[in-house]
Amino acid sequence: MFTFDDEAIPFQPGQTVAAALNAQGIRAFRKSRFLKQERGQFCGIGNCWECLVENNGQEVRACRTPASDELVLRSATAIGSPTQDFGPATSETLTVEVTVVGAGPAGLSATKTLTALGIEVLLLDQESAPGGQLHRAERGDKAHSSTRAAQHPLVDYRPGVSVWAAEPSSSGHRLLCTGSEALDVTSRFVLIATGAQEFTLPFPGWQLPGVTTAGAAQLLAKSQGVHLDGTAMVAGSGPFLLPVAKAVSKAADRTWLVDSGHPLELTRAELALYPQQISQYLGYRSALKSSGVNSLHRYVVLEAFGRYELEAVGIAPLISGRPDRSARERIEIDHLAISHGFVPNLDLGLNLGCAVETGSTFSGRLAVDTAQWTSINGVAAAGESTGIGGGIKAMAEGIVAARSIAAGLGYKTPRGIARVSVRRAREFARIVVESSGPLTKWREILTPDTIICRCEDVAYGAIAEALALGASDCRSVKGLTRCGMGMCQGRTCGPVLQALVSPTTQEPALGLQRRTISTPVRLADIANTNIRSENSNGPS
Amino acid sequence: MAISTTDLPTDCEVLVIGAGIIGASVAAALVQAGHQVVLVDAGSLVAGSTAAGEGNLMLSDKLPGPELELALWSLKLWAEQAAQLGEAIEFEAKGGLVVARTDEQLVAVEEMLARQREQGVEAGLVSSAEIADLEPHLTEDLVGGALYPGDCQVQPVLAVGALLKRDRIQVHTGRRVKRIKARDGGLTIEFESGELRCDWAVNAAGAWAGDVANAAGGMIGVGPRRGRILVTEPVETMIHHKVYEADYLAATQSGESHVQFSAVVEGTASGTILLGSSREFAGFEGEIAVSDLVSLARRAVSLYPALSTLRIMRSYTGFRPASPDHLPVIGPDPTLPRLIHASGHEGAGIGLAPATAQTVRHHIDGHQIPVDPGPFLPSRLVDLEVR
Repeated sequence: MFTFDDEAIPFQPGQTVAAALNAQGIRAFRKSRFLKQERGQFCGIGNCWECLVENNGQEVRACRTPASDELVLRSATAIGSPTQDFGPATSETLTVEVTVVGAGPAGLSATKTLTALGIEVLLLDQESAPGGQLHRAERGDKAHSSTRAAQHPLVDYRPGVSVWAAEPSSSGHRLLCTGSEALDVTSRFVLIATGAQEFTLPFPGWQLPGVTTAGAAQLLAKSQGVHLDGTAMVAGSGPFLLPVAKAVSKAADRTWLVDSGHPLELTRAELALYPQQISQYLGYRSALKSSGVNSLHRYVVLEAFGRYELEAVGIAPLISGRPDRSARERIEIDHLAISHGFVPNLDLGLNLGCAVETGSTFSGRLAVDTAQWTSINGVAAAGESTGIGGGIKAMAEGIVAARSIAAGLGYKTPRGIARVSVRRAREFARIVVESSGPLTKWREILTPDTIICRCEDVAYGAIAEALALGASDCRSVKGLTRCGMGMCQGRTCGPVLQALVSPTTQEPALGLQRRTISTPVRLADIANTNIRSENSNGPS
Repeated sequence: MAISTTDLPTDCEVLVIGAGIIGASVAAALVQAGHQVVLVDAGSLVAGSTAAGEGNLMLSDKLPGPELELALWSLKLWAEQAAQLGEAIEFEAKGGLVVARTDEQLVAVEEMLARQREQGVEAGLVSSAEIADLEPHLTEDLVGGALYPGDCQVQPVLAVGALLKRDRIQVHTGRRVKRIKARDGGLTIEFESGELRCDWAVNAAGAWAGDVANAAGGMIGVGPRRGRILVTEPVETMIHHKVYEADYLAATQSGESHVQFSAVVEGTASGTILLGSSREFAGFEGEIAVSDLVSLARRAVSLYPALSTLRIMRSYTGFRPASPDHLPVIGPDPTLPRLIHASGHEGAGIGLAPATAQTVRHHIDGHQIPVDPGPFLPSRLVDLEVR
């Protein structure tokens, strides 16, 4: 048992503090910075910084803190405090030939390809176990087979580290990492396989405890063993809703699926081209049917209601992409999982100077050639960072990228069908996005009080006021309102702000995505970094 | 590039170019004085250096002479402005503390203080024991310093927003000036798209003021002096004053092009602590070497060891508009007298904005001002070497 605000909390081995608290019905962990609203877990993977709890004078993310018996926790009343002292336990300087950043499907398949050729790989992973986000819910005995690639003898696997700064250089790209250890890596080749994060469009009440991303709900239901008492709803748009609805339906008493898109409709020819993806998709549809999930298509959540926690939602059908408020219904629910797709994590690519191209309305993607090389010599990218496309695209691109790196090291690589697989996977991703993108009139759901920036409690009204004053880019709206200035540094609100500010821009939607400091890092750890006498002055 | 969505008028009395603190202050002062103003920016509003500013309203770092005179006047104007604009701009009369590590630095601080006091600055020396009371988290490795109660701080972006809102000034964004030509009784301004005739134009384009001067066929030698800030996570107030090392003064006055660091630490009303500073001439390159981030961090930790456990959330670059002689450039262009330059404030723009605005007004409508505008005139730069 650990304690939270002096209450004893039981937990199962392997649960996070966030999951254990949720299992006891405790969903509010703290109050928000300025409006003092109840907040709890939202993204479940450490990106949103909402789930802070106080651990012995330190504010930590409950979703990234394993539950253990000695913990004495309290609701967090601050964001940071000078008495804290978390920091890397050790530090090391490494010079290597190949570094793979990210141990999801792209990073693992690249690692497997490289080690099969006899090439050593330094594998950096933000998570504590390989599999990335896709296989996060399968850990321990249930670990996905692809994760074995991290255990190969030629792999130097470093879990629990994040790159906080990166600098490209012709004499070896520099990656500075923090987390469980401090690493100063110089690497001739770098493979960016940093994946994506979920993307959610705000609506009134979305900040209430009990509303989480679809991924967070999937984790609670699947690997964290939390029973979701009462009625759960999985809502939003995009194919990710399906596996999440399946997982949630096993953990909740009753489940709704509310999808603003429509069921995937493909021609016969297309069905023949994508057998893997189609069978996956059909598998989910039939699983939902047989578990009695209430599915509504072309419906949208208008509002979440509740005094301190989620109690109900208002939903409405979409007529020509617009919510028909006259037909709105109120449904009492206990859990809401929302998702509108994914946006790639571009930090590392941007800090290495890689060119970005237009992706969706809400994000850009790293530009790569058919060999998966970015615009920077020696830097390749694979998986979601080159465009959202799921696990199959990621694995295929990982293979191609690995072969390119191997060729760069002088190895002869087999010709395979990997590049064709990449092309097919990208095409399928495009079809899926076209059929299931978020509703185009999403802005109409916002009210002046709708929170846009959760970290700094910035409501839509403040943003509209900044826009009315003449602000025409994200940076100036950020300066005027504080939107994006919190601990998550725009990871949650950035894509939304970009879409609000520049609805017609043709430029890559970068918004707030350029972060020199890519993850919060202790001042001491920056100060303890070696100063190199030959500086490369960054991208010119 | 920002897409312009507003219709630009074809004529106006005064066109102000640049919607940062200087441009907004000039526009506001002119509107308050009854002038008809149009405010444009090549990008969005506060898209340039203002957003990277710490919001310094300081007397402590001003060299005795015209700069200090301008600052004394400007800070009085700020106090009046702050009383009116209220909490919205996070105005804090927190005071500035300059600290010396060596006896040599302390002598320099004492000399500067003596000369500043002759000019009317109210400030005094403090011992290292007094410093420890004022700032408990500061390093104990200090020999003494000086306290300037008149130093204040403001949130510069909020200040711009408040001024524009108060005076209902719209910003025409995405309007880049291509050419400025004389015409009878005024100027013709050509933008990338569109044209406007005005009686007067004000070049408040900050670090980009050189481009606007070029558009008028001249040059004013204002260029970017790059700086970098580290920002901590928000914490309960730990730092009560604006604090900086004595070698900051040398760094600001230096003409050296390689990067100079000097520790500057300042808390903000929102709880974050800003750690600086660096100065270098590196054009408009926004990314700095990782080693420079490390140097900034080391300086900050050395000055305030208690900060070392705080997490740094982000870091950003700003381009100070530097002039060749470290004095602002305020006054009519030597060739096109209807073009009034208002730039070159380097790291002091926020504090000097209201006085700059009144000086610009003086050049347009003859309004009496309490300082001599002579030292700031652009004509003084004609013979100086430009960067």
